[in-house]
Amino acid sequence: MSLFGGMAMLLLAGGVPIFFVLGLTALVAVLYADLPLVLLAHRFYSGLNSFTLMAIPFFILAGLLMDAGGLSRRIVDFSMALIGWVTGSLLMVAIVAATALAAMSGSGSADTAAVSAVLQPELRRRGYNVDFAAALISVSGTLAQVIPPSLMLVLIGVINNQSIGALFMAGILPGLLVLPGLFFIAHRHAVQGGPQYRATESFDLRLLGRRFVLALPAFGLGVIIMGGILGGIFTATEAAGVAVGYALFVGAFIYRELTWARLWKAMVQASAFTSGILILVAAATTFNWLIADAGVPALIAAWFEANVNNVWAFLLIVNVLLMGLGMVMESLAIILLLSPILLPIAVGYGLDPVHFSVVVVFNCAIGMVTPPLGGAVFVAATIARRPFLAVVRHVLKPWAWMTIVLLLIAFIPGISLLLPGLAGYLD
Amino acid sequence: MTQLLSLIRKISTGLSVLFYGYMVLAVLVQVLGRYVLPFNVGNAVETAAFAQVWLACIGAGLAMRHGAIFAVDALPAMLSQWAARVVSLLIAAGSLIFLAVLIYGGTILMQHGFFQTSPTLLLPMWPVFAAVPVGMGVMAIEVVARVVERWHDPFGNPFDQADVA
Repeated sequence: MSLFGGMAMLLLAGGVPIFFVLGLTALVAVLYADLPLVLLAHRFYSGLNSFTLMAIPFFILAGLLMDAGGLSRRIVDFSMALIGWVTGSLLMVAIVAATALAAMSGSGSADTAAVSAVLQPELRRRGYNVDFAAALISVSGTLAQVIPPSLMLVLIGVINNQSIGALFMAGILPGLLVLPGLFFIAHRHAVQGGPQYRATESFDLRLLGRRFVLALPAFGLGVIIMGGILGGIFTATEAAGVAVGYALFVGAFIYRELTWARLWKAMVQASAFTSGILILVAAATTFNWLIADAGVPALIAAWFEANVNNVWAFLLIVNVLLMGLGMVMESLAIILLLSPILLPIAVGYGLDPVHFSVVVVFNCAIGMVTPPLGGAVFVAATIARRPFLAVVRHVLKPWAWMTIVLLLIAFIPGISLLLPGLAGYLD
Repeated sequence: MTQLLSLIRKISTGLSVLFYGYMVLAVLVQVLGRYVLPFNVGNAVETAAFAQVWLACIGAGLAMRHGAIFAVDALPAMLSQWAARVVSLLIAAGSLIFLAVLIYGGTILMQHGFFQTSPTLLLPMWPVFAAVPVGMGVMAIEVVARVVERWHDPFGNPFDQADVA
């Protein structure tokens, strides 16, 4: 076991793509156990042939179509009319818009990119601190990992056979809990930042009404997804597929911004990203099957049982482990590799699997803004055309707040379990 | 050679988009079939899952070009150019070994597929299993192309990550 683990870590550190790390480790395990090689191809195929997994490609495509079809821009415009009249308005708009997009798109980086692209010119024109704004946008964008529909919640649900609807409901309150802290940090920055942060426009109810009407078709996407799933009309996969059809319709026929060229670009981008995720999921399915076959989860569970007899200590260890890994590993890899091992142990400690899954995904969201990897910060810095290091140093305060929220949701299960309980997903 | 590579890339990208589109269509038809259309077309979803297998496999090369095959390359990025080249060659060699195993296993699966049909629509399975050797074959070509195209800066950052979550 330590041989395979050591090999995987060595390959990972050596820059081997995670897909090949999983594949090569699985290959060595198959050769070691003298199993037929065709098994790898068969498990790989089985990992891909899943209807539930199809929610991932659809949510990715829906997010890209929202951007290409002008839906994202309408939501940012509405946010501007809603809250653009307070001190540090553009920062507040960034938070509100990213949260609203998170409720319709499953990808943190897609949200970060959409909000950054729309707001950056205005941020520069008004003389805002672009680095701080980019850091704030990247943190707000990560809420898409927690607020439904979330790719990571779908993934952890698929890998561990959990209800996607329950996970979606469980992600709402933890995601919203981040907002007050972000507003406070943005407000303090604006108050101390100088006259450029003062409001330049007064609140205009008619403008808000107009922007709301314009954004209404875009908001319909969130209603279709969550309403469809909670109302029992669609499965999560079907809701994601319908969301794609709806985004196509609104972008092409209502906003009329979705041209053939934009559609093609979105489809190619979505194909690339989807394939990257799906083959990783398939390789991880093979890897996890071999790990389970070798009794690794049982060994780790036995270690925890012998050394950690307190559920809170277990949660603390898991959070420190995940936050540490989040600094150097992609969220996808953490969820695919560790959640199947940690989840049964968590259940053994009496934790609810839905609650524990949200804790894991929230950790991954924090990982997206934690250097040195910090994928969301990288995206925001790239779009702002600023150095990564200049942006990432402003992440500290929002990062600290997210960590506080993480501890709250980890140690108070009711925060994540309240809504799934009310919706009838829990016994 | 460059023209052949370009042709392979165009075909694989086109097929990826085609399979993606089919998946969306099949699921929409399934939902419409349940609530709107006067007949049941629920079985379309079986073919959508097959299209997903093809999308994942044939799109893997595209994913490689767009930087969507994730790696932790902070350490190799610090190497000198010649050391980085050696490491990139080793990575490519390891990748090709695994892809060769998948192509071999996928070919055997495909042979079995001549005698198998799908559970619901009773379609022959070999065209579905063929996705594994074909897609991994295209990915193997991209692995080699990546080494050649990035020879001057093997662990640089040549792609736009804006579309990568």
